[in-house]
Amino acid sequence: MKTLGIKLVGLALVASASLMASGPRVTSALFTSAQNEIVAVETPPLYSSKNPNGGMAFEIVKAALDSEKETATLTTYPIQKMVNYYVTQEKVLAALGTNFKLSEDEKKSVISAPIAIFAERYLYYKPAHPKGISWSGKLSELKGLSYGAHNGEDASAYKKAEIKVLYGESRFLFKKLKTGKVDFIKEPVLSAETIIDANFAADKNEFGIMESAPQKSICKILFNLKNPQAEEISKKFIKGLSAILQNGKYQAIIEKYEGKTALSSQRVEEFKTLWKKELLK
Amino acid sequence: MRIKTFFSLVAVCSALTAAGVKEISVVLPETVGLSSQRLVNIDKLINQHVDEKKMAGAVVLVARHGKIAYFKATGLADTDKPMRKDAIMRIMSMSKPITSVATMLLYEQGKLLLSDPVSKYLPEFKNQKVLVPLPEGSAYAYKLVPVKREVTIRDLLAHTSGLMYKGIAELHLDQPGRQDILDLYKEAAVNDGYCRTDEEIGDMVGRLGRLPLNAQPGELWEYGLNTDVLGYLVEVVSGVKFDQYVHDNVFKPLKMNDSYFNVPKEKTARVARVFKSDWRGSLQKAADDEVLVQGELVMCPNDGYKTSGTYLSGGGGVLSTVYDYFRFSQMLLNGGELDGVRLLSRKTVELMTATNHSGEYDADFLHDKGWKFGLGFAIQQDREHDVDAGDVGVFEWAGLYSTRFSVDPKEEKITIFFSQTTPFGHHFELWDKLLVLSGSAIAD
Repeated sequence: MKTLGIKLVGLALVASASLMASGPRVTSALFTSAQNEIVAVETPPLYSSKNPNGGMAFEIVKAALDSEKETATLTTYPIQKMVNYYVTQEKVLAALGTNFKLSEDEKKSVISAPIAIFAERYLYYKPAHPKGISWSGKLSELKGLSYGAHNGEDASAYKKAEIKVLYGESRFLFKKLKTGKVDFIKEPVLSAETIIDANFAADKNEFGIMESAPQKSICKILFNLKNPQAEEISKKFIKGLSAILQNGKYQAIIEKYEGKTALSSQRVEEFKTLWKKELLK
Repeated sequence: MRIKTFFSLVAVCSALTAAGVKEISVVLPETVGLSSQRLVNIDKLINQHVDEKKMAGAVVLVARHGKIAYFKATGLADTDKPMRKDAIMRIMSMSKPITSVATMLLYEQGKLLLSDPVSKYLPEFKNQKVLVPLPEGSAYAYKLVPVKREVTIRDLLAHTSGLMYKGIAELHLDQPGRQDILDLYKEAAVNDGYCRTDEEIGDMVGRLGRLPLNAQPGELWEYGLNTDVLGYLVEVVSGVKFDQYVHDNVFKPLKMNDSYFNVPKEKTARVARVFKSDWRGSLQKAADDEVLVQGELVMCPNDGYKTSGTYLSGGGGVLSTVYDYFRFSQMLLNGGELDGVRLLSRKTVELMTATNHSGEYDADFLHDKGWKFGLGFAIQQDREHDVDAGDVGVFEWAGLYSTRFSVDPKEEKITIFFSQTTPFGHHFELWDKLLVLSGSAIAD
C-alpha cells in the first residue's frame, strides 16, 4: 500500500509536470461544445476564456442562468467586430460587452439587458503630460487632444467637442497612450489594472487618472433572436438576475473581483435601481 | 596532388587572416569538383552590383561535398564599415527552416505528431472558421463557415493552414474576402513579425487563432504566419522559451555560435546595417529607429540591435551569419548530422525535403511554377517550368532583407547569399544568376 502510495504520488508529479508544458493554457470553455454560447471580447477579468469562471460579467450571467437551471459557455474573440458578427449573423445565444455599434435592423434582432455598472477611469500617460490633464468633466475642455476609443464605442460626443478619436482594443489603446498617439483613454478600473499589471508593470505609476470621481459604463447582454432559444432564455435570465440580486449572490460576485468597498456596494445599489427601472419597461 | 594540398593550405591561411574567423577553412575549389576560374564570375557579379550601388555589400558562400570552396565579403556593412564574412545579419524568413527543424526535433522525441491538430496544444485554434465572401449586395460581406478539418502541425510546416501574412495578403486584394481578413488582422493587431512588439509571441498567436482562416486547411498553399505559430507551439510543447529551446537544441549542437533572436551586446557592432535601394544606384542607409513601410509590410530593421526582447518570431526573428547558416544547411544536406552530431534522423530530413507533400499547390511565391513547399522550405519539383538553375530536389528559402540559401542534394552543393537590402524583390535576378554561376562552376 505504501509502495502504491509512492507510485501514485510519482504519477501525480509526472502528470503535473506534463501539464506544466501546456496545462495552464487549457480552459474548459474552449473545449466545450458551443451550446448556449455567449461571446465577448477577451477582456480579463470582466470576460475572459482564460479565467476558469469566465470573468466577473460572465459569472453574473452564469449565476443568473444557473438559478433558472440553464447553462452557458463563453467564447472570447480578440476584436469587437467578431463579436458583433456572431451576435448578428450567427445563432450564438448572446453577446456581452459595453460597446456594440449595431445598425437599426441589427438592434431589432437582439434583446438587450444590463448586467452590471462598471467603474471606469479616464487615464493619461504622465511623461506625455507632466502637469496632468485636468478637466471639470466638460469634454469641450479637452478640445484638440486625442482620445483612444474602443472599437465599436460611440465616440460622437468626443468628435463634437473637436477631440480627435482613434480606435482600438483595450491593450492597444494603452500602448497608443504610452507612445503618445492618444492623450487619454477610458477603461473599466478592473481591466485597466489587469492590463497595466500584465503589460506595463514597469510603468504602473506613469498612468495618471484625469478626474476625481469614477466614470460609469453599463455592461449589457444582447440576446440574439436568431437563436430559437434566445427569447425564452432571456426571460429566464431576467428572473434569475432578479433572484441573485435579492439573495446576495450578485453582490458576492462583484466583491470577489472588486473587493468589499463602499464604492462597489454603492454601485451594486445603483444597479439594483437601474434593474428595477428595466423591469418596468 | 601536392600542388592541390599547397593551394588548400594557402586558401585556409588566407581565410584565417582576412576574416579573423579562425575556425573557418576554405578549400581549393578543385578539391571539391569546382572550378576556381569559373567561381571568379561570382566576384564579378557581386562586385558589379556593389559598384553600381544596387546594394551596399554582401557575403557569398559556395560549398561542395561539405567543404567551403568560395567565401567572400564584398562592399560595406555600414557607411563606415567594410562588410565582413562574420557580419551578423537579419535572416528574417530564413528563420523558418530553423523553426521547422526545432518542431521536427519534438516530433522525433514523440512529443507531437505532424497530424496533430494545432488545437491540441494551442486551444485558441479549436473551432476555427473560414471566411467565405458573400455576393456583392448581400446584407453582410461574408459568412464564417466551420473548418472541414482542423489545422494540423503539418499544415503549419507546409503553409497550407489558411493563415495569411498582412504584407502578402494585400498583394492579392482582388481575390474576394482577403480585404475582410486583412481588416480583421489589422484590428486585432496581428503582427507579421518584421517589427518586434513588447508582447510575447503567444499573445499574438492567441489572437490569430480566434480569427477566421482564408481557406479550408489543406486546400491552399499560402505563405503566412504559420511558422510564428510553430515557434510558440514549440514553446508550449517543450515548456521552454522558444529562443532558449532553439539555442540549446539547434544553435549549440551545430556550433552556430553567432545565431540569436537577441544579439548579445558584445556582438551588436557586427550587425550589418539595412540599406534601402532602388536598384538603380540610389542607396540609403536605414536611419536609427526608422520604420520601413511598404503598404501593409512594416519593418523595423533596427530591432536587429536590440539585446533583449520577448517577441520571439519563429517566422522571422533570427539573426545569423553566412557561416552559421552554412552549418545549418550542411546538417540538412548530410541527412540531419554535422561533425558527428546528429540533430535529426535521415528519415526526418527526407520527409522535410520530399517534393510531393503539398499536393497540387505550387509554392510560387519566390519562383514561378515548378516549386512545391516541403516542411520548412521550397523544393524544386521539376525542370519543365521556367527554372534557370538547380535540379529536381534542390531546396531553398529567402529572407526579407535579401538573404538566400540553396541546397542541391544531388551535387552536394550549398550556395548562400546574405545582403541587408530592401525592398526584397530587387535581388531576385541577382540570386538566379548566382545560382547559375555556382552551378556552372561544377567541374567534375
